[in-house]
Amino acid sequence: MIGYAVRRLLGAIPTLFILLTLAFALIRTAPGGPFDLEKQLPPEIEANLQAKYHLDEPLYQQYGRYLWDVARFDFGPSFQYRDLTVNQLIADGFPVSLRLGAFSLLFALMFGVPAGLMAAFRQNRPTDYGLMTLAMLGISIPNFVLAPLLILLMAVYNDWLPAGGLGSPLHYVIPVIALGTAMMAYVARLTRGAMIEVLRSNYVRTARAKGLPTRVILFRHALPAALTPVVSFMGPAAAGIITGSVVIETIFGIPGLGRFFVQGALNRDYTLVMGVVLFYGMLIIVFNLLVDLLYAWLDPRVAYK
Amino acid sequence: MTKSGETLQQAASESVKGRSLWQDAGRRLVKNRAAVVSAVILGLLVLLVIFGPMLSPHDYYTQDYDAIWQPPTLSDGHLLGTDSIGRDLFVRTLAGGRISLMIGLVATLVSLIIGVAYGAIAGYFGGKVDTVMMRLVDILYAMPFLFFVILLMVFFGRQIFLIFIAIGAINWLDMARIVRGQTLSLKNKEFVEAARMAGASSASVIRRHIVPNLLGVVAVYVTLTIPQVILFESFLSFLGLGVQEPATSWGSLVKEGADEMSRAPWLLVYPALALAVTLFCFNFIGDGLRDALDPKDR
Repeated sequence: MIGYAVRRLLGAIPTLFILLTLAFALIRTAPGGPFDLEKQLPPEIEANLQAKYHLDEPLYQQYGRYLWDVARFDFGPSFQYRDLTVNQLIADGFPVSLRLGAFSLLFALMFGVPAGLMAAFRQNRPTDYGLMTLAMLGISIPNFVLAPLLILLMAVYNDWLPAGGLGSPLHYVIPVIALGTAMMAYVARLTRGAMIEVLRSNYVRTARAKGLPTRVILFRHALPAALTPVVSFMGPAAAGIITGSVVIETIFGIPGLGRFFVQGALNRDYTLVMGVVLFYGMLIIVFNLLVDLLYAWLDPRVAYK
Repeated sequence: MTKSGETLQQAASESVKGRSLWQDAGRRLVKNRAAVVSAVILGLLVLLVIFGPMLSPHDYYTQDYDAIWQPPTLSDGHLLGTDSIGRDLFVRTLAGGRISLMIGLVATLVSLIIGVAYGAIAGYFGGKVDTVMMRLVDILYAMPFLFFVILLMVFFGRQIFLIFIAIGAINWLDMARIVRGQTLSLKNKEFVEAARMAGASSASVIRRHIVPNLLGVVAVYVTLTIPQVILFESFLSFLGLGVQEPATSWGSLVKEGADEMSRAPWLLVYPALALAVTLFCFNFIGDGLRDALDPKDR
């Protein structure tokens, strides 16, 4: 299994290489530069800036330099936040984004799995239809619509929760609901579908035939099998959270990586944007690997060699 | 159900009337109340979006200085109120809907054409062609496209044309994978063999026999892609990277509404409602269509 993991990580290197090259090409062919300010800089200062960030070198040399730096996990200095390196910015922003994402994931699982199980036990009855309609609603309301509606309801009309920033645990409530709801709905639908299938399977019938109590059948025999699709959904879910956090962090003014990215793009902060894209690329690769390993652990029929 | 199936059915229909897969699916779909209701609502919404602006005395860009920040009212024709510079929200919501729906349809069409062609070719030829083509798809899959689209929009300006390309370029990947899988299982069927033996070229086998048999899967996927695309465009517009003023889309309207929500909540609520209802209906229809074409889990 360790061999498998190592090979997967090595196999990701070409992908990251292509990602880096595409991002580099896109950013450098774009019109406008990081030092295009409202007022024109004196030429000698501009030349100094260019030299400091090696922007005066030929493009292929800059590309080679960047590649070499990234190979050593050094994303370079930020163009906009002059005193900080991109590594420092990522180290600042990532824990914030991670906490937001982890809470949202937890929220989605905590409510999505029980809802899916309940719907499966009451298949084609009002409970099932009700829950699945709610789930469809959850999938259909985009997070950037849900977020302002929740703020309107809970922070503007009623003074229940704070609307922005990250001062206290309460500040997390609205962003987590906004980010986690769609995922919760997906989890509920997946759990329901898998549970229905499992409940019809032969081994559950056997368990029932030998007289096991329903509680044992459901929770010891059926549930682990029904959760495997949910586990494999975690890969796309993580990508969804990353995407979602870009807009959620912007709405709530949360100083996470997603907001750094949007601001970096608007400010043409080349290194920051590249750093965040690459960091997210690596993150998704590692996360998908973890999900696959977890999947193999849960489902003994799957073996990675 | 298949080309050869149809001719067989024609022969059989003289004695027993057969039922095609599509008739069967149609029956099941009509029985699915959620899908039917969604289709009706969506149909009405589309009609409203197309013809609604003609019924209103206002247009989507003119500023009515006598009615700034006006809440929804029946008296002067501002049915859903006006925004901070006096533009009519009812007409703006419909105009935004035109753009959102159009982007949804066109970008889905782009990804449909690329995805079906790519997937059918890879699946049909198999072997090395397939390996290389699918390896490329795998690599593209790992790209955080959202970030590329944001960069594209920031650096090259916010043109609708670019939005189409960007969204279409992302969505064809899923389509190609699904189509390839189906093609792999189809190409060894007897009717394909028969066509090949009768001397049909690869191109005509793909066009006449493979693609028509993919329609079921593709139809389901298309109805589920349209809402994704609309969502994605709204997402870009919400970040200020999509459709530009004075044109508008549901995403931009939601953004404007979110900025002013404590002062003028109607600016947020109505566009949000239009967007959510549309996505809801598309998702329900797509689900219904899938259950109708593949009823094993019901």
